[in-house]
Amino acid sequence: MKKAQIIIVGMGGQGVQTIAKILALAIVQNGCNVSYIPRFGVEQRGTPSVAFIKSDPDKINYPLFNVADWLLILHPGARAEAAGYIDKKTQIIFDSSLMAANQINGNLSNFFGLPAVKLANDNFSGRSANLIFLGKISKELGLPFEVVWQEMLKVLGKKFKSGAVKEEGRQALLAGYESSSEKGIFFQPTHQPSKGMINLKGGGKQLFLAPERCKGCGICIVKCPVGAIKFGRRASAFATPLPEVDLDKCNVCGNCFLYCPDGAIKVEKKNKKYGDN
Amino acid sequence: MGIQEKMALGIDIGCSLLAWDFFDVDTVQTHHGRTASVMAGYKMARPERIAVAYMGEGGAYAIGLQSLLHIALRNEPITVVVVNNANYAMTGGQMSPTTPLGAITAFSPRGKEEIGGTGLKGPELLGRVAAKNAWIGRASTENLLQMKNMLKKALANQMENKSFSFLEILSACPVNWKTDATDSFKRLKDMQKDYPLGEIK
Repeated sequence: MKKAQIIIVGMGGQGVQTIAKILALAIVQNGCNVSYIPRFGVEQRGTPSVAFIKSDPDKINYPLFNVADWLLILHPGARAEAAGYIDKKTQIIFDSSLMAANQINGNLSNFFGLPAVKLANDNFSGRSANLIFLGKISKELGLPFEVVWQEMLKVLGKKFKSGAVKEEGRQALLAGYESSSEKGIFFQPTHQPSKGMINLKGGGKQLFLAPERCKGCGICIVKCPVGAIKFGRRASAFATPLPEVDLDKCNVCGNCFLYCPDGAIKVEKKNKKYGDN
Repeated sequence: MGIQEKMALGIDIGCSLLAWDFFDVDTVQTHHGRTASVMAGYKMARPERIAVAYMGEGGAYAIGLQSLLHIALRNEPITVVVVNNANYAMTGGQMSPTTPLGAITAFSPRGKEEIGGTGLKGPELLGRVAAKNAWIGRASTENLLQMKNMLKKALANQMENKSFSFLEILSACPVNWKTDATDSFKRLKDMQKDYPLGEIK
């Protein structure tokens, strides 16, 4: 493996530091020296999060750098954090499902679009978008898939509560590893995961769900007395899974609205508008 | 209660300052721990307004305890709401005065050890010094209806009795506790054993 200077930016909560840690460990397994410096705001969620990784077969004298060889942009909200580290040779992998290429400064011939959030929403759960990025950068750096997977098991092993989740994680990683390098100019984001208000009707009730507010804490699921709510496969604005409500089971008790810290979910009897009492 | 126009909210430094996004009232942000003092001064200047100080337990019980004690002692007619999530959340989950015994935080990697007392019980402490008309209570985000009623009482006490009212709210911090929704509520219930809910004075 050669020298590489990698920067990963994204929003806190997307798993930027998680994949940076796995990547750093995988590079070590590949016989290279690594330095990894995380940087994020005090709020831990919803603010830009940056990871600096430097790999070198020789000794690393100083862990910081001014220009990145590889730049991964997981969220458009964090692209300003990366702007200072781009030069003509920087290879940029960005989420083409969330942002357009012209939102990023840099040499357009080095842009790779990877519609990770769209891939994750369509095939896996919304949470695994970061793993697709991890797979992609591992491939580009020439790391063997199994090495990365073993390191991922070490770091994320506790989170895989069932075999299905574990397999899904592996598939997401593999999807990123085998994804083609789409080179070109991406004028439009291909995917807008969360805008406006979701309004579903059924069984004489209607559900209001605001993906821009939901942060996927799961309190509504715990507090639902009839177990009508569970996590779905769609993602919210924070790239966390959105809840899904089984309107046939729901008894319109109002607990989800009462307990939701962000006022993101509400079930009403039909023919009422959001905000009416 | 129809007091939105009359209300002024003072907020402290910490995660609790994000409250300025949630309440559509006049807000002022103060130095760390001095929210209660600032709001007491505001109330002196504008007695017709309703002053609410909203702070975290780090600001209220650690750095701002002396201000809070003396405001209770002088029976300043303001409402103080303290959100107690048992750590300093914004800086990454360090140990705070109310952290329960055995809890693992950044400052107590082997679990909090007993060094004289379990955790600071703010409402009980203030109950000893507060005046007769003061209202002091503790609620939890685990029981929101009770919390709403108590908040109502705390505000009503300020308006009707013109005396100090204080409400501590036990809250969860899933990010630093590293819990999901189920475990957060479980841990909140454990906390309620150490910090019993209800009206204290």
